[in-house]
Amino acid sequence: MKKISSIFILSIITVFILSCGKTEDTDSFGKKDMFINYADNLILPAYNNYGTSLSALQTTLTNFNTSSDLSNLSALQTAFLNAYAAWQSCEIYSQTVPADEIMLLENTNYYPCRNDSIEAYISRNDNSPSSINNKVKSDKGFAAIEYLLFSRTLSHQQILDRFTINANAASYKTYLASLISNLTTAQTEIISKWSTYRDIYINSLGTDAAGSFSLMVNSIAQRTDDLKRMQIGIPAGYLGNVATVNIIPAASQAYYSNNSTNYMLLTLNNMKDVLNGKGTTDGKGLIDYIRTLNVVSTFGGNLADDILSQIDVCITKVNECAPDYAATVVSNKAKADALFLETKKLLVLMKVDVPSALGVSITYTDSDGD
Amino acid sequence: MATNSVFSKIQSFLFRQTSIAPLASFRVLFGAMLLFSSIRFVAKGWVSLLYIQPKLYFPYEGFEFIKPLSGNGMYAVFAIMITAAFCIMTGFLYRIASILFFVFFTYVELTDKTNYLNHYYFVSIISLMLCFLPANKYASLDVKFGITKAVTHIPNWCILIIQLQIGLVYFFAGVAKINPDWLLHAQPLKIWLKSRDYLPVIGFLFDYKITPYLFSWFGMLFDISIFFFLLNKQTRTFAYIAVVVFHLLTGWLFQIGVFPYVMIVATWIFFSPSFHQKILSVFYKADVKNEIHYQPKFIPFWLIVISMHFIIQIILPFRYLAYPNKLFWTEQGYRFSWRVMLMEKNAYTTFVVKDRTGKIAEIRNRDYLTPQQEKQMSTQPDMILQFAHFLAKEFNQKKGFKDAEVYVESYAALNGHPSQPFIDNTIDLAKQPVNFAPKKWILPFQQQQ
Repeated sequence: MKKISSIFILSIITVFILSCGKTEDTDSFGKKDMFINYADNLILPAYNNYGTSLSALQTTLTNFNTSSDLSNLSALQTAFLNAYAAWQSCEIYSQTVPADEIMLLENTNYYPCRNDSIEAYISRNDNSPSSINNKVKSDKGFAAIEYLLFSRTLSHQQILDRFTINANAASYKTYLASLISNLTTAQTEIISKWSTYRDIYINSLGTDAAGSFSLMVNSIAQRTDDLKRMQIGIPAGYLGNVATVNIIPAASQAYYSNNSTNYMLLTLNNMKDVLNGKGTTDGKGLIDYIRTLNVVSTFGGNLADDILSQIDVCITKVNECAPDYAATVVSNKAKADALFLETKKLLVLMKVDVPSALGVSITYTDSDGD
Repeated sequence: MATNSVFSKIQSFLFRQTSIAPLASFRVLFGAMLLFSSIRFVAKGWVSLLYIQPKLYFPYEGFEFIKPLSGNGMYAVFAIMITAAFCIMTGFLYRIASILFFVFFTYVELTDKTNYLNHYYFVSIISLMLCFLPANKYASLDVKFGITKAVTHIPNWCILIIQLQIGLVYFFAGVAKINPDWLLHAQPLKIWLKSRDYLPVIGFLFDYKITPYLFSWFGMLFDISIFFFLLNKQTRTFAYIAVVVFHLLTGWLFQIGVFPYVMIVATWIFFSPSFHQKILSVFYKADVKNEIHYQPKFIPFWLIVISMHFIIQIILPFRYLAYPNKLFWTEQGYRFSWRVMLMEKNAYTTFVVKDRTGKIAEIRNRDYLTPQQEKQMSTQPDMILQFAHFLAKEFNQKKGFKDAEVYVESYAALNGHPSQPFIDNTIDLAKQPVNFAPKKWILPFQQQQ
């Protein structure tokens, strides 16, 4: 016992001696500051900005319903694209507690939508806001709105005709209005949930199930997974990691308005900003923290740098697939394959290297370990 | 002559009469612990989460027939366990209670290896031992109600086997820490302690490079030596204080549930009979004034059984030597060896099911697995294989696949090393057998400097 207690005391003494002559102090990183930065400088501004764009969308919708002409349709389309673009900065937080609780992602942005089932609902006047809320994820959200407002084959006039001279014109309008109000409802709920959750968020500094580290890492990893799978993979015929012969161009995000690659770029650039902690101002972010750990990535460089440069590689590959991802998967699939491969590398960094460096569990669940 | 006297010494050491007090108070404390942890388990909603909600389970090889009960059956199992734990604690209908507890607890643990924890294994072993020990012959309701006769003394081995079992747990936990990751790189503590540097009072220590090394070395020395310090009368009190501090500290730092308290309670048995007598006499006035010795028939059969148990206990932690590649990477021979807190391991594992008619499906793991199952499965090759077999069967039977093939793409990171390919994605795991032979489809671990 003497041996043990002397070792123990010796250890403590050593640590205190070291703490007097400390050469590198990483405690000054300030985890709480980082999460305050995330809450106040990134997450809430993103949700609020998205809210503003939804209000604008609502206004253009009201104008359109008052006077359904081509110019108001065009204004409505523009406002829609702005809102959809604003959403791209919010989706990355889908695994944080408030978004997860109200299933924000499922309510807002699942694609592709089911055209035939949407048409069926419209033709039988099943279009009230409450019924939209209860519909499955493929019958609502941005994809459904986009399907109603845009087309790759119809002219603007033909789209306008849906809402004016079509036999179900009134039902088209109501379905559209309900879809938009459903988005607004979810956005309002998120803001109100964050007002109470913010305190918990900035004070849960642990890597346990409910810790903000776990939630952020999981959220960013899941966003990367959705980028790889939903935005890039499925249209290019990847069910997962294996290419099949069946490419599905129409499964692209924002297919009808042809904004797939634009939104991929928004997603990737936003992911970089989130990792850097860069909102309206540049604050502390996960990458800054990872950099202090001096971890080597699977590419052999510093993990923090390798993540950022891999995102840049993905951005380059997206640009090669631009401007029409749906057309690229048909005519130049090799480019989509290359993009898919690079996104997968990014995903491995996010799902394996980052959690390992931080000691967070990638699937969060409350249980004992040993 | 000499061997004879050694033998007789051993014999008298094992069979000499000693006070029953340590065993009786162990029964009360350990029973209370079982009661508490069973109630906690139910209260946390884990019965449903772990034994009702999952769509499939990961049985231990050879125990595939053991499945959770359907409906609310598992709640009934826990109700029996809680009642039995209460009876063990109070010493009421002790024999049947201890058997019921052991059987049902072990049954629950065997249903899904997802939930394997070393301390559950420890509880299983100790509760099995309790079935055969006369722990209810003192300070128990059985004595009070005349169900059994009170005794004051029992053979020494009754206490020794529990002490030895506890000693083995610590010792092997310490031996397992003698590896380069733990001692030379302070992994995984380097990662874990750093992630807790925001904690009050001691958090700041975790930002020093030396801290995880000190913790690692101290932890190893503690585990290896604590058994001997607990046995020794001179060092026992200090050793016990060290046990309490060590376990409370790890319990505070890491998410390890009741394990610290189980060990704090279990090591209580190392204290002397007179100490236990004193403590017990506060709560329990013995009805018996005289010493009553209890000498159960110790037939050679039991001697063989107990010896076999400890021989197996000593061999099991070394079975990994029969497998190639790095133990932490393949985890072949990892469980049932008191390897605790040795790994920070993460993996991203995806499955693709194909057949020769050209059908193909990529699996979203969470469609079939709970988050906890997915987490455990992703990093453990034997579970990856079991899931692959499940998928093949599922797709053959329900999705119209013909001779489904299952391919796995997986990347894993271990103890601070960068991620690397984990499973050979050219091998059809549906055709690989579930057995204890080395799994050749695990890619070798590439050590990077």
